[in-house]
Amino acid sequence: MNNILECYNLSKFYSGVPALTNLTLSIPKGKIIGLLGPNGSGKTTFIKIAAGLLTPTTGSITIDGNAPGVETKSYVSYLPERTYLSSWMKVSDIIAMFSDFYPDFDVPRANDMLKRLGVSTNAKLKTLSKGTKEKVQLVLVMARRAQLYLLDEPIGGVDPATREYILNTIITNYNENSTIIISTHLITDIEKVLDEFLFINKGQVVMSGSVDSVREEKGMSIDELFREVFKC
Amino acid sequence: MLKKLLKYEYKSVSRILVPAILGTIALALLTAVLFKISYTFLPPENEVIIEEGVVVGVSMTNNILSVILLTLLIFSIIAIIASVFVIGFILLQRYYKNFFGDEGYLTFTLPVKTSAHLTAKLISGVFWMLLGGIGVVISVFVLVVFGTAEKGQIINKEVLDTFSMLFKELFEMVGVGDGVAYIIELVLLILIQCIAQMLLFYLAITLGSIIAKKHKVLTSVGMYLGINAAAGTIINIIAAIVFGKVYITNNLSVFANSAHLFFILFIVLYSVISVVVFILINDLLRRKLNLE
Amino acid sequence: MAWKFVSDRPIYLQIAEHIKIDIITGVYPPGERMPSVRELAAIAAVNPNTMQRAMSELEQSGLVSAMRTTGRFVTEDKEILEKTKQALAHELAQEYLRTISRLGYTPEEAAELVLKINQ
Repeated sequence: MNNILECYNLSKFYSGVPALTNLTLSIPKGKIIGLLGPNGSGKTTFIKIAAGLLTPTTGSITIDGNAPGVETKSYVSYLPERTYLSSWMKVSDIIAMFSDFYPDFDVPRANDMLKRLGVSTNAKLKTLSKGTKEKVQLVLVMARRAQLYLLDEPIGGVDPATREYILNTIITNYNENSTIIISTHLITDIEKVLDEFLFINKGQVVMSGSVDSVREEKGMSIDELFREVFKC
Repeated sequence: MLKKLLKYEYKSVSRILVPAILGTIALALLTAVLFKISYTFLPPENEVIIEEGVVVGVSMTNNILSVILLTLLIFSIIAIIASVFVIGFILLQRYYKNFFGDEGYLTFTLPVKTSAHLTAKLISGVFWMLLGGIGVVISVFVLVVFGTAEKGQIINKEVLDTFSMLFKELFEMVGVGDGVAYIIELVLLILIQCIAQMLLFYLAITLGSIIAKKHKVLTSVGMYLGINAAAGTIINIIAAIVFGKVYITNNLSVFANSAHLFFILFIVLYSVISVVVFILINDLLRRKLNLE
Repeated sequence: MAWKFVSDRPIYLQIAEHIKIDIITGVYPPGERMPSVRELAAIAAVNPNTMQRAMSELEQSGLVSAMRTTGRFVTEDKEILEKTKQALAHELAQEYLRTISRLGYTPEEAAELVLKINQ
């Protein structure tokens, strides 16, 4: 099977309001895919369903053949938009915890990344700034040797230097056996890192393809294409 | 997996509850020691009055020491009562934050079954409630037995004697075999009630968090009152069916006449409630979790 | 520092050009072992697959050759290097001419200008 993720007619309603409507798509293995769309387009909903945090209203979704559940969680690594770390733990505690629960967690890699960030493993999480906490979370997520990485707005509210660091972490941790889905509305920064893109709006896929072919065929960047497609 | 979950439950909660429980015991100990010192070295102006092994009053004279002692005693008692609430609050807060707060994003992406998560929270909750209960008993014991001891003594033998007398009377009344059975049944009942209560709290929080968009805590409280009332009503109805109308009018006589049946019925009822509620919560967590 | 790219051409082609220039200018001398695709991707801040595609382009043009296990090496073939340098220079000159003629300069005036500013 060449696709890591397949979903068919996936719909999600929140008290009658549709967040995803009959979404059908496949994500190939070994690529970095951009899930691009305006706020409220359904990107986060889709990712949370894939991560197993939301249950679909109708339709199906499988990750490497399995519906989201205990098994998929062991090979899917999810980075949410918010910080989910308990404030009482130290960095070393959370590393131990990830290592305890995820067999694919690479402790030396995590420690190396943290060292380069200048974060001491003895630091209490509550003493870290918001930006540093986000970086720590990224480290935890990328230090897993997962089959699918789901990054929800990883460069959302961060400064340019941090943005560069995050993109660098994604690039250096990438391997051909895994797939990375990055959801964002900041396209210019992320474009050079993507293999393919999916434009999503109002819970549906509006356009998809490879980044290079858009440039070759249309002579424009994904960012420019996005502006065209989503013109207000 | 369950062991790992329990490890992290313990780590998270023990750092507050261990000091709380130890602190309460320590305060009781301090109070008892100071009372003891005051009778030993001071004239008998400050006395705790005991009749038939029960503390009925403290005789004070108007001096600073007695004020201090009284204040300390009051603080001790407040601490003992408060410790129960603190333990309960911390446990419920842990459940709420770890499942339905931001931490939930981590909790529910761990490759762990929801039943394992729930079991860990249940075991942890019951463990600390029991430990807290033991802490309360120790603190009270320390205050009463050590603190009220008279001038030449270390412990107040009268209180201990009263207790052993109670047990003797029990065994004389019903025979050793039955007496032990009653004690076991009582312990079981306390245990199963702890489990059921914990689960009812957890159910209330779960429902409140899943149903309410805002004011989740308030909704949870409302849920708890409702659920508890419903559970209580069901229990009363079943007990009335089993024992007959007399249960409603005079349940003490029911207890006196058929204590074993009484115990066993309630143990069974609470066990059934526990199982049903556990399954319900697990189902909600598995299928209705919609983290914001 | 991440490399800069324009928006209307495929990124892998722009990367290939960037590396071509690096090779010609001696950043990667003839016979030198090139950094791995992963390292280059991190330096350029691009997708490793895209970098891989760029390197394949360079392999095809002969500027770079891949040794199975040891990696990619810059060619030592002086002819290829010379041809590539000339092709690049040619492109740059055409670009210059194209732009300056829109200002109304003839090719001769354009050439004179180059000599003049060099003084």
